[in-house]
Amino acid sequence: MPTLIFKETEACNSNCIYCDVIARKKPCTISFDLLETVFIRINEYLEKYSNQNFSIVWHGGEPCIVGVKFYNKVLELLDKHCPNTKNRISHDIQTNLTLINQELIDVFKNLGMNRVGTSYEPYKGIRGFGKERDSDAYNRAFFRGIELIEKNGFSWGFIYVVTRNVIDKPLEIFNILTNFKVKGGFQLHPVYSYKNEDKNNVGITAMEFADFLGEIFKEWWEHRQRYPFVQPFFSYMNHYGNGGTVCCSESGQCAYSHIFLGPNGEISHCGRSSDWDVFEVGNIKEVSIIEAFNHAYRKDLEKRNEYLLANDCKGCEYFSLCHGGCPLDGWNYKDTIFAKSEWCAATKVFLKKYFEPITGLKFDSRKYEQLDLSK
Amino acid sequence: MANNVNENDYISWDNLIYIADFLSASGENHVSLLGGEPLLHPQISSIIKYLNQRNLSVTIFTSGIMPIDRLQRFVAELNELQNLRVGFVCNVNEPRFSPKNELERVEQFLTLFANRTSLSFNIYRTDFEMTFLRDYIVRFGLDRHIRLGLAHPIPGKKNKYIPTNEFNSVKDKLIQFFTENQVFGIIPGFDCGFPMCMFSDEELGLMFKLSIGQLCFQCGPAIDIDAELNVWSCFPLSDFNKKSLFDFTTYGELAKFYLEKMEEVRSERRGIYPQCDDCQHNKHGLCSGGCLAHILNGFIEEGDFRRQEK
Amino acid sequence: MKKSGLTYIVDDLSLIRKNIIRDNSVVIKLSNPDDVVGVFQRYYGDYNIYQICLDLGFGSLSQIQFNNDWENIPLVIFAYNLGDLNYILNIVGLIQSCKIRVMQPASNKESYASLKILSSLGVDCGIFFDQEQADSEAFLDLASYYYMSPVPHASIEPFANIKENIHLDYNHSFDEVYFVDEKRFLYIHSEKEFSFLPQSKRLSIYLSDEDFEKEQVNFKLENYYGHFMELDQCSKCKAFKICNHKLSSSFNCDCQQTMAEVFEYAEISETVRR
Repeated sequence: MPTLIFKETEACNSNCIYCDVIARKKPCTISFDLLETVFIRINEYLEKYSNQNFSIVWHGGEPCIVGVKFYNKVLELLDKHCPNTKNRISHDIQTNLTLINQELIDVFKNLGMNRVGTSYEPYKGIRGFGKERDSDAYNRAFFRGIELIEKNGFSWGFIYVVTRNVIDKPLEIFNILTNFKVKGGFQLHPVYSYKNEDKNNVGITAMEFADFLGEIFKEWWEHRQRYPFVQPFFSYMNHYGNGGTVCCSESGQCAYSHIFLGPNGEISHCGRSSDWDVFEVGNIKEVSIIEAFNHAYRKDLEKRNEYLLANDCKGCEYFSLCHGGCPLDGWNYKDTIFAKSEWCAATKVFLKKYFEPITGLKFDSRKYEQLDLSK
Repeated sequence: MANNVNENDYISWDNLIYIADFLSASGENHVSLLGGEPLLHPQISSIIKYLNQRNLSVTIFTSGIMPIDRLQRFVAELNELQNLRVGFVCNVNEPRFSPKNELERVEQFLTLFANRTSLSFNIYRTDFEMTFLRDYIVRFGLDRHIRLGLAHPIPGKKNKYIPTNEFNSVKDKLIQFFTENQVFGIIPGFDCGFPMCMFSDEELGLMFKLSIGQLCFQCGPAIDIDAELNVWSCFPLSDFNKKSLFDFTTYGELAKFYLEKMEEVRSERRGIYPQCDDCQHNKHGLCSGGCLAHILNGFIEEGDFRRQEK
Repeated sequence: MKKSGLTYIVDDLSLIRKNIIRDNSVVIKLSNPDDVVGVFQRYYGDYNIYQICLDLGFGSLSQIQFNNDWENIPLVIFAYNLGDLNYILNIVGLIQSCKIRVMQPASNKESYASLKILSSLGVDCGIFFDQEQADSEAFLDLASYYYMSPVPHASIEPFANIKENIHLDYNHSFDEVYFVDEKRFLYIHSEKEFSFLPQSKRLSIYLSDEDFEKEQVNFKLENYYGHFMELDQCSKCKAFKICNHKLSSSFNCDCQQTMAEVFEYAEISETVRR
């Protein structure tokens, strides 16, 4: 099922210290005319591929900033241009929840949504409103948002971005996050920076992230029944047991699974590729979604696994688990997608130094599909 | 003894509850309370009622020697509830060796609790007399059963006890007493430690009939638990492999532990007499060969490790 | 204001007759044991009595003359101690047949053995926290008794509540045992005013439903989310899930360690039960 990361707006009410959007792009929101074109293209795609479903992840910026009128328009366009295919379109949203209200929730329900992805930062000064990053006001609004979505029966999970500000307090962070979201339901993620730009000195190294995860993992392992859904631990446990990927950046199979659309109609591969101006496919006005999925760059993405196995990742026992990491990290590191991610080291060190000794598990690559290198 | 009692000598409610839980989890439905003097516990009536509520019937081993006001309060508290499952085994001494005021108190006790009381008599000297026991039973209308205990050595301690070469003279007096008092229907109950061979076959037959078939010469753990939840197999062996109740999960496990410890000793020496090693009745489990305390006492020259677990 | 699903707590009987109570359940707070039966019988038919809460202050449980009239009264008794244990044991059969929970203060050293006695005899009971600090060792011992005892016994709050809710996927406060939960309990002060806690900000009974919900959220923002705003010790505590700051000043030593152990016991006990 292809996933459309739809950045309908670059506008955002928050000022997060690590955000590329704020740092790099001017705020703008997709026009209704262009929005109409998007749904015409989506319908085109779904009519051609009648056995496929389509997922839209509403993104930003802050997707709630566009207001309820926008999403009512979406509903109208779905009825108008996707009358026979709208049931094969699912909707998700990634929002900071500070602008959510009952009207928006009602229209989200009409779009079939029942869950929300968000992010959370307990420490002050890392995200907040305005230049001064007013975290108190931000968090108050965020907590109200949580209460509102829970009242409406929505489930939610969040991403926690690990920055230099917290790298020395892994257990403290872990306790706060698990107190906030009781069974887990969050993902620990390192902060990414574009070409090592780090004006605010928030970046961390792969080793630092590995050790950060490792310290937390010791605690998590002792009480894994208490908070089962902490990523990436939950996925690694599944990996080692049943095979399967951790997330898109380590799947090695994102060539034909993702597409990105920006507020001006610009098509790219995913959120980060757009932020970094990589994989510029064209504009939805001229290029259909079908054509975007057949773009030449995707063939390169497809070949990446084979190339890495013979080069950067030759002999690596964990290749079938991480596949050299996200192609964009490879590009960020060495200006080419045919390089492994610098974050591979984090994966390897974490698994070797912490995960395997603590759990007693050993990675068995035979649980994964054999790569057919002749293709 | 009462003047020397302090709060730490009394079992706490926490520990009592633990014992009740332990026994309940083990499927037991009875507990005996000993001391010191259990009736001195300021909350003894509450303890009895509590244990009854926990489906444990209670037997209290008492000297019966209590100040009258305390005794009257105790009676009043017990009478507040009907159908209390409590009995008393009153350990009495010969009147000729007892001070007058103690005798008076015992008699008061026997008067008030006659319908719940049987007697116990410990034999620690060979010139003992037992007639007073019959007199008490008849005079106060007590239960006809008499628990007979032989005083055994407590290994490592200097206490009065009957040496094994005096058992015959003890036996003669017992036979004489029970023969003479058959008409009163008095039932002998032999505590453990009597070797079977101290009786002739004829005497065994008589004792079997008088005890209504409850004649037993086997020795096994009669677990004691103190106020601090220390445990041991029985009174004479109170220093032998003393453990904590917390070391065990059930009463069965606890009893098995001490049974095995006793067997370890008996594997070296079957009984108190040399002939016990070859005795068929010992081999068949009919007689345990007397009290283990005598055997351990014999090891006393060989050092502490005999009595303590390593 | 939202009319249904709430429990109103009153200590002024005249407020019971007001219409605000009608569609909700009520906890009636009393301090005189002699009033219990009469109050229950008077209001039972017309009102949904959630509980009668009898607060004896420094009084003992044994000062109450229990009788058969108490049998159907949902009653929670706050007593300083058991008092005459002999009397309690005489009537324990009657207490067992009633719907009574006996609460005793954590600061009173006697409470812990008393609660074990009651629980082992099938009487629901519990511990409550007052202004004085409690002995954390005794508290943990009681928790261990509740969670680990191999024989059946009656519930002891708040341990029972903690265990029942340990597998929820959201933070749950055992405070509901003490009638504190802004989603369920309101303290009625007069015909016009209520609050979420006995001493917290008073609000108007006549709030619209929307404003009432806002106040509930405000209350939670202050009392629960406030920890995450301040990033205080509670927000970083392993046992926050079961404690939610309720006991941070209740013990004579580190509450975090105490409650972390209670958490472990509760988890083990619930896992064994499953």
